[in-house]
Amino acid sequence: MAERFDVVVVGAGPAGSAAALVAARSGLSVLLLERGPFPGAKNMFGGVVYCRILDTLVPNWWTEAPVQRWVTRRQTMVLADGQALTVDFRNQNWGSEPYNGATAYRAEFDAWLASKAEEAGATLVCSTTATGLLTSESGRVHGVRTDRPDGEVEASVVIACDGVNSFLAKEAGLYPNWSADHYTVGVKEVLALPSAAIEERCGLGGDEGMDIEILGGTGGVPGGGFFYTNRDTVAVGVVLSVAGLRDSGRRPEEIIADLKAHPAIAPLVRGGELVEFTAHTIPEAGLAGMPRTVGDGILVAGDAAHLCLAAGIWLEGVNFAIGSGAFAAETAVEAIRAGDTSARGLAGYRRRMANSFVLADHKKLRHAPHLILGERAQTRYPRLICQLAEQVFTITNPDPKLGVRRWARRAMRDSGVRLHELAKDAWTGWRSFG
Amino acid sequence: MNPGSDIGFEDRMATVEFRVADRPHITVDREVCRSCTTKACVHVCPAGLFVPTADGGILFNYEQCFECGTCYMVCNEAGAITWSYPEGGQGVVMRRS
Amino acid sequence: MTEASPFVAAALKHVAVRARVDPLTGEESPETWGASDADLAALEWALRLGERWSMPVLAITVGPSPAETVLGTAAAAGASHLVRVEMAGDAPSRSVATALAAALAAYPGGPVVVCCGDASPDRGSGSVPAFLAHELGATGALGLVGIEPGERGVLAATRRLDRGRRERLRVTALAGAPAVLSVEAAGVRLRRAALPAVLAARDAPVEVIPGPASRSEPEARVRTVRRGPYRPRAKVLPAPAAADPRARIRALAGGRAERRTPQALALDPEQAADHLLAYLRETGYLS
Repeated sequence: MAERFDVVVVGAGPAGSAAALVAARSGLSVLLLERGPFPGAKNMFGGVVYCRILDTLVPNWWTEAPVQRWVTRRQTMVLADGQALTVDFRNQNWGSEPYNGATAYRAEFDAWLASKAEEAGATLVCSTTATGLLTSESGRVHGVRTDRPDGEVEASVVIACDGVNSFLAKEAGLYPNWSADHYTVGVKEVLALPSAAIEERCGLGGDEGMDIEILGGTGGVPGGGFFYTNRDTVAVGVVLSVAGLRDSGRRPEEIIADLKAHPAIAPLVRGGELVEFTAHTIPEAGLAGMPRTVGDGILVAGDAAHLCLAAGIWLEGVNFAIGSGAFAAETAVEAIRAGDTSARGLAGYRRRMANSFVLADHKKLRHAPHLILGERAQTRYPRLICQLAEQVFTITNPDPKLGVRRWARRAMRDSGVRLHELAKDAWTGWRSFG
Repeated sequence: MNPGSDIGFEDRMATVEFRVADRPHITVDREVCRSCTTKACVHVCPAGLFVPTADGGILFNYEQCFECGTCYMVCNEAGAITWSYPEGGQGVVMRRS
Repeated sequence: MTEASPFVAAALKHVAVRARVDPLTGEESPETWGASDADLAALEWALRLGERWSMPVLAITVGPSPAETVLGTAAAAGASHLVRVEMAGDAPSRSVATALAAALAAYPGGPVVVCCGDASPDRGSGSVPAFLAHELGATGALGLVGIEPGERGVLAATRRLDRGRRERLRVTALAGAPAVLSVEAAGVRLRRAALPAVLAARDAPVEVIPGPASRSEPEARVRTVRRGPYRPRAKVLPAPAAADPRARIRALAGGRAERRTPQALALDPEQAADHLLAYLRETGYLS
């Protein structure tokens, strides 16, 4: 006879653990399934977790969460050949309670969050892959099948937090608009350096960290780069549009190598010994790539629901995962108590997300992914920005300074940017970010 | 010198822990691959698991897979690459990522 | 099954299965804890013997409380009795074996067969099986690669010998005259535990037996005096091919071969390092 729980959460990442935590606290019986040998084993990210969303779930989380460094220095860097223009923001307030962003190892962070769910009463079972859904003839989901013998589990609600490839959401038919164009692949090197060297290179104090989001520097493949600091490692990597990488004919590690060789990045990573090389796909199309998140007996959260915000200056995911996971669980609790776990009974999930940052940010920034991954933002604008800076700061004596208008015209000509395209993109950007 | 090239690909992959399952979680229909002209899986796979063979087919490993999914996303020959997750507890184990 | 039924035991060790080694200092920091592949194979063999002979399987470990995780694995896979002997994690093999033997011998029913992981590069149980066999007064069949259970208390085992040869052993074991088997991580993998068993194993009770009170060791007759650095093994080279014996000897001795005269150079460290690297590249040691 199959095991039975009120809620089965598939995947003990941030979304799944948050969901299990909330559902277990409400007194439901919760099974949290993880296919890795421990939570976090399969997970990788671009380095920074923004935990404001945890304030309500785990009060004073900062006293116990396994954090590497508190980000007090944020850079947005635009790279062109041999050139870099950086906006560098430092905020010491982020280095003390209640903090803003932190770097972390997912193997530690995810395991910690899962342990909070276990403390709340959820049953965590690792090394168990969910291979499919138990579905009634009417298409109603009533459990999952795992790859263990006698591995079927019945549940009133299944919360699929099974990550970017979400085989469960696909099986439930919630991804009718699935397209490879909605995904990027992140490839990352973690390099060991003495913590003193990291602090000196990045101008940081003891537990302070730096995070750089990089536009350009991916050899023309649409995407971006990132660099961030852990305690005694730094991470450098690139995020590449899957379609762009496919068409480029280039190897991911070569693109990282080029980024590491850029004069703006090389001094930060010099001498670092590679201790881990990893890759993961990322749902980056925003609203356009989002599946249906509610089905009969099933809710989808986190990466599985395409909830990653990749909007140039903002790269967030873990917070969206935690937020959506918690909302999914609240909805499941409500539906189970009301005795209706059909799609109609679970419809509150979408409403909860829409009333919070989880969907609101994506709605607001729905045009951003397309803009950021477009050819102009990827190659021509970085060149334009860097050339403009070059002209402004190159002293051309005895010729007099041309003035911003003529510099701009020249930079636009040299970088191949047309005024009407710039105006159009500026308008899109203003509508998105404004 | 290019700083990324100072480490061989084997050494790069040796930094990651892989628990190898008995059964492969990737299957490739080589007949379909023979008719594929792009073979994008060969260069996109971050782990370099796919190797073209002289007769136009594809040879693949599953042992050192990051389980990212890029391969099936770029595969333009429907159904050539079938991909699922490895058995629970097996496969890649990331620790500092 | 009555309380006093003889049982098959699997002795498992909680070890760092994977460690990170600092390339500079050689210092190891453990990363993944669990049972070694050899220990898991031992557990699988114990379960198969238990099934075949209709005997309960007891999983036993020695160490502090985190060691109980390996017992959880055993319970999920089908071990019905779980025992942990409380002891420091770094106790020497001899005292571990003494504690194991005492716990097993005192356990109601008594062991018929004790399966252990063989000494293995992945931190298997080292010399414990041999010590254990001695302490229990048991038959020992160590370094096995395969086991075929026969009639109750009888089994055939295969052992790997040097140069690819195999040895077949026939082992007879009884409660009161048990056998200790140590197996390599070969041939079998631990079965995949069923989901209900995994869930039930979370609450499976573990009997904790206090270990020997004092850590006083019987005086060891073999002590490590000094441990040298790792040296690669000598490579076997083919004999020189020449018809004339003198030419062969000359080739072996390196006479008249082109060689460089040794150089003594006084360089500052950076130059010296460059020089060494250049030499290694030239001679094909570095590419």
